[in-house]
Amino acid sequence: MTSAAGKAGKAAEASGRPPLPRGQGLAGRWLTAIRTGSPTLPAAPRLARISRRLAQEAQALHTDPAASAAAGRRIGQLLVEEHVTGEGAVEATVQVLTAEKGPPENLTALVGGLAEGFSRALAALVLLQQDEIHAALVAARDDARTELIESESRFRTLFAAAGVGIGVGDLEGRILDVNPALTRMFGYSLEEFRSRNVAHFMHPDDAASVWADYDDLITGRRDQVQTEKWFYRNDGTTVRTHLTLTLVRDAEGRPVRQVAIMEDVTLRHELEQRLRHAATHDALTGLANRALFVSRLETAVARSDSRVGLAYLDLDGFKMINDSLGHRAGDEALILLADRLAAAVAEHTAGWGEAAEVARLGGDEFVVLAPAVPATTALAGLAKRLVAEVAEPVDLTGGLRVELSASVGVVERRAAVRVLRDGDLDTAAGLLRAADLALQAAKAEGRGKIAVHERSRADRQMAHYALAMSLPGAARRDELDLVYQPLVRLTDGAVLGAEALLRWRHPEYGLVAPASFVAIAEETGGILELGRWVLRRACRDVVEWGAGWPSDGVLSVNMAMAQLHVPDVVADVSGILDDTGLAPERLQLEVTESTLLRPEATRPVAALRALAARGVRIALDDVGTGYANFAVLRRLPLRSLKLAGSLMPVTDGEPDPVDAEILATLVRLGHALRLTVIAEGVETLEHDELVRRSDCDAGQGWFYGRPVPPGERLGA
Amino acid sequence: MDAAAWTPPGLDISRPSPARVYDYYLGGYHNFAADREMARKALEMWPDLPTIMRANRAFLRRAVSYLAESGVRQFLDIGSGIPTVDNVHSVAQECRPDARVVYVDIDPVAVQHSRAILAGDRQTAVVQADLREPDDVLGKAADTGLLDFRQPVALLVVALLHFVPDSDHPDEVLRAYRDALGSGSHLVISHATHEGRPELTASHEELYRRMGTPMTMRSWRQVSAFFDGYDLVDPGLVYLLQWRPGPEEEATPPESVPAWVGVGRRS
Repeated sequence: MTSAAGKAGKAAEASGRPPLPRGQGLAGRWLTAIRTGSPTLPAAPRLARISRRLAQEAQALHTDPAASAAAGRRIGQLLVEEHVTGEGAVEATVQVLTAEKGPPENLTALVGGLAEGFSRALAALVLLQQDEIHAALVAARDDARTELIESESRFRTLFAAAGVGIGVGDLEGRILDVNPALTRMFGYSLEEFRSRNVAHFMHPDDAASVWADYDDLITGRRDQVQTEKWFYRNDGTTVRTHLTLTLVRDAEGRPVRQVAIMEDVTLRHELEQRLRHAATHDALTGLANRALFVSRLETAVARSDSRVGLAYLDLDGFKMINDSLGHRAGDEALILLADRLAAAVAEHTAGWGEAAEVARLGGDEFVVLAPAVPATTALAGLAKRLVAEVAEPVDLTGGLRVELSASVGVVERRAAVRVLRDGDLDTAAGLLRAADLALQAAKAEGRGKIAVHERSRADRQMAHYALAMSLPGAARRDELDLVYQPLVRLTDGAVLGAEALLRWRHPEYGLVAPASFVAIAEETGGILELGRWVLRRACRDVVEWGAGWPSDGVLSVNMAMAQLHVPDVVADVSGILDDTGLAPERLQLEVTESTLLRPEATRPVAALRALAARGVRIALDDVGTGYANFAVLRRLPLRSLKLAGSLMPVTDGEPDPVDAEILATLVRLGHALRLTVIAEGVETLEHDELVRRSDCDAGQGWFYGRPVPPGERLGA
Repeated sequence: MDAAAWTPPGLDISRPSPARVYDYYLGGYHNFAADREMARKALEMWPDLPTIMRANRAFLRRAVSYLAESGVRQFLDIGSGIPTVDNVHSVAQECRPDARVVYVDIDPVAVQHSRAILAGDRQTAVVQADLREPDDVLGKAADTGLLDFRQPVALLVVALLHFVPDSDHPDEVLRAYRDALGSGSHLVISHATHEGRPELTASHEELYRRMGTPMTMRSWRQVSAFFDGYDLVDPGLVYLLQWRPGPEEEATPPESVPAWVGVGRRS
């Protein structure tokens, strides 16, 4: 080692530096010699103290060798104690001291003592510092060990008290240790665990990926695996756990252990399953609900090779059960029917490629999904079975027996000839809509009927619905028109008034016959708004008509049953008359026979009485088409009968005598009730002659005048 | 668990510890064979190392003397190592007998040793902490009850920052300390540099990298940034031997000790 101090000392020696200046004492000379170039020495004040001690001890040179040796030992010790131990320090000190005057034996003794004192002190210092550093090392290691013990004891406590199961295994899958929570969770003792391998805990429901991930873990390709999986417990029952497997590596990063942390999630899993079941099943019957049905249907439809069939079932008049026997009885009937249908479907379709399933879509609607229809007639057979099952009487608690029927709509997507397939049936929604349309067709035919999907019928139905959908805004879009067909007195041909007729110029379907859309309006409830619009517009048209309208002419407007059921129909009609200024006796409301002759029609009859009391005329329309309860006719506030146009013969030439007699009888009946009788649909000379012969009072039809827009001249 | 994996740094005497190597350079015997072996290898590559280390120790002494004379009574010495000669508290107490010092080191053996030699001294304390965790260092220092951080404190970061790589964000670390100290506080830094002795830098860095404590030499500008917001007292940020030198320092070329040193003060 070449310290700066050593270098400086040697440099001074080598360069033959001149003797230290006279007049400077030993202390000063030593300071100069020891300091040269070395920044390692104690600070100046302490160095000065040392130099004075040195000079003091050097006085022994003037005594004897023993005292000199003792002084030398103290100097050596002093140098060590004061850390003046750097290379060259002893050499410089000896040089300064030997330059002193004194007996040679004393000088020798001093230097010898210094060597002995220095080496002894240095040896002591080395031993002391080595002891110190070893003690520090031991203390530090103790601390570390204490921390390790504490952390291990904390870990042990955690391990033992943890609510989650913890297991430690080696990389061969041998189980080394498990905590009490895990022994409780599995029902194995610690010893039983230790005698088993991780592979023992495979479960048939394990996803293949679980054990692939496990292999990745123990081979160090990944450090953690998380999964949920089933385990067999000791008693054969199962427990589902959320499992976290962690790889433990040593200081060099080599895999050494695996630690499994397991949380028992069996209850949570069951709850989830139950919730999932509740979300996908009907609470009342336990059948699949609409959501599950749709998802299964989508899955079935997505398989292009499958013949997917639907049988859409609706109980006929089920509302009657609820209304008359109460909802509890209705629910019980639904539950019993659901069980019966499910059993029947399972049995009937057991031999099919894939068994069919029943779902409840709501209310009294059920649907059977057959994902693999085996033959063309199979679905119709199934539908017949369904109808038959429902037709079997249902025995409710309390000895009540109910007889029901069901209508079924059937549709099948045939897979075989793809190009010929109906594209609408390629989606779940399309298939379900087709089944629904077929069901509507079946219901239209009466109770207990089955209808199979037909493309053309479905298209008609769809057009019908499209119309229904666009009706509500028709008036606002200015697509509706009123035209007026004159009523002519037969005796003199005078125009008595006109019937307002509605026309719909549909942007897509063109002119739509009232017969088609009024029925729709009645189904959808749109008839109320439509009826009010017609009445108001017609009243206004007549008031504003001008010269072409007969001075005491009567405006005839049709009124639907639904309108008469509205509580404020009387106020409505009165309001319109007041607003437009049409006198009540100038308005005639036409109501149909079927509307009024039902026994429950008390509200409409009351409404008509109130309107009649205000002076409004009431006419019974379409007489001769339905059944006529003549007894009831007397109780109605009628002013006239309008005979249905269908009573007019369709063939040219002489009318059938029987037809003529029926007509005459109806006219006589009207007259007997003191009513005016008006014939509708008079289109030919033959019709005119017929109605005249039958003694009708007035007539309406193309023969007397085509319908005209408001303001134009009425009559031929 | 494998015992070796749990051994903290410094406890494994088969590996050199910077604190013990430093002690060896200073002429101490608080070191083990691996430390001396490392030191001997270092000396082969850079024979001036002990001189540099001792010069650094001397700078510490001059800086502490200066601070004590300026009225500072509280010292926080981070990276104190194994102090045997001219400890901060003894230098400070020469001038201010009431001076209090908290020593901080990351090496548990150095900490234990310091505790042993300082046992019974009520004006000093030793804590084990990491410079790079200012909150931990300041928290533990405050917990000793010796330092009042409302009063000026001298923070000593001597021959330590060059062991903190840029990836540990020494600028952020230093800012945290500077912000934590109050008005009148001081920051003392000595930092190895490649400037002045560029030809030796590569070998020196290589040496410490092999030792497991890589060194990052920094420029004058980079070291200046560590004082951001503090005023450098005279003579500013200079070569170690140029900072308020004694006769010995003046006699040596300043670049022979390639380190920047400075003392900053928060006004």
